[in-house]
Amino acid sequence: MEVINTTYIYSSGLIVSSKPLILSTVLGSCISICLWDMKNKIGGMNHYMLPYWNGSGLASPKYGNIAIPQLLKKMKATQHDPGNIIAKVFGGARMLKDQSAIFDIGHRNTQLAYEMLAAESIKIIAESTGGEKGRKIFFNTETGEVYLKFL
Amino acid sequence: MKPLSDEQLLSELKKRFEENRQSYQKLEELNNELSKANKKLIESEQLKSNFLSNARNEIINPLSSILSLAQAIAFSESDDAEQTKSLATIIYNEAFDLNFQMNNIFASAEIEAGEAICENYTIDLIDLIEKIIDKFKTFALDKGHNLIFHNTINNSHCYMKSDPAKIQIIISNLIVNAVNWSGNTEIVEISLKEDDSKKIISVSDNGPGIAEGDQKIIFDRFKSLDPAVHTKNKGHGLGLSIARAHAELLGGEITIESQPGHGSTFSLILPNSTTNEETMGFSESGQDFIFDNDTELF
Repeated sequence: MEVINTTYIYSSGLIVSSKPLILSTVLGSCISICLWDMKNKIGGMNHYMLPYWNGSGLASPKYGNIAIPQLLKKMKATQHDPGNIIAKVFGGARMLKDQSAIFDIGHRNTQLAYEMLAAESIKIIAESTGGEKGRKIFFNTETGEVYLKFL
Repeated sequence: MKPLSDEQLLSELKKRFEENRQSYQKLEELNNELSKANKKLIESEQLKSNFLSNARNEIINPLSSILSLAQAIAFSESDDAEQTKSLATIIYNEAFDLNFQMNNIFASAEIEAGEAICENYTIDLIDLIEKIIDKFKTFALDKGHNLIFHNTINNSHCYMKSDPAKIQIIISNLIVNAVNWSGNTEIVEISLKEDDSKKIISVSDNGPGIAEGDQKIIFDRFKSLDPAVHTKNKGHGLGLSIARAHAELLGGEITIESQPGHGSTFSLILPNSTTNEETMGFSESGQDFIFDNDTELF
């Protein structure tokens, strides 16, 4: 088997690669969206911690409403037909057990992913979200496959 | 199931009501924050366009003085070594400042693009801090401040795993802030402490201090508290927001202790070892892309 390099994505990080690469990360209440261009074999992944940037600090992809458009923009920059892009969504666990639904960051992060991907008409073809366990994922940008382990 | 006693029932009801009340209160707080955030976003965009025109001035001006001074040295007909030296010093100071500003601009661009990554080296924290202080000594002296290093660790070495470039950006920004904003104080103290499993690097000054209400604002990008002081000093109001984002990347945080009239202390708190996500879920070598029974494929 050919050995593919693994790149770790830190929280607030974002990578799009047109070369075969394994993108890995560890998620709690954070969300990673894996976008994959089926035709051109291009994959990209983000890792956001909170749903909305509230204007304090830097406007970084730590926040979903910045991380999702930024990932899409980078994917679209590589080719002209965004219709080939599919999405897989991971993370959004409820890490603090006695939080009420309103303050469940994981849930709010997940909802934001659904809403923003729907607004861009990008299909979510696989997902593993919610629950109370952390996840470790490996995303192969050549095959679009994601391997997931619960922590 | 055993039926509940009246007392149990009452206390349970009381608890539920209390929980409900707290939920409503939190919801209200959340709504308040939302409207505040909205206002802030509009403001932040405004500041960003100011920043672009400021940045232009702050890059072009020092660059043109560097150019003309260098030209003066190159084409000077006198052999006055003293004069050459003093011109070179001005060039150095201007270039040093420019270098610092540019590093900050690039660092924030990197963070906002999600491209900031953490390297992981074994470093000697004491050595690193001494090197940073050394680098900024002239800059501080120029503005009438002495940088003093106070090491409370009973050792001349302090090894840990971290990203030295990120630590350098954080500490230099804290030092530059202390020098620029502390007015007429003579001493800026940089100290290193160890607390449980944490390393604490603090930069303290005896300047005017920062009121509690202002302590949040200073971490916002393009913001500084006093526009008058801001125009006197160079800078874009990026330093602390970069410092905070980098500290998070290293698994640490930036804290502030300050009272008006009693100076300010900014601290970088670093976890002792890299207990960040990378080692949390991964083996040391990172070669754990192994398929076993509990691996799921999506």
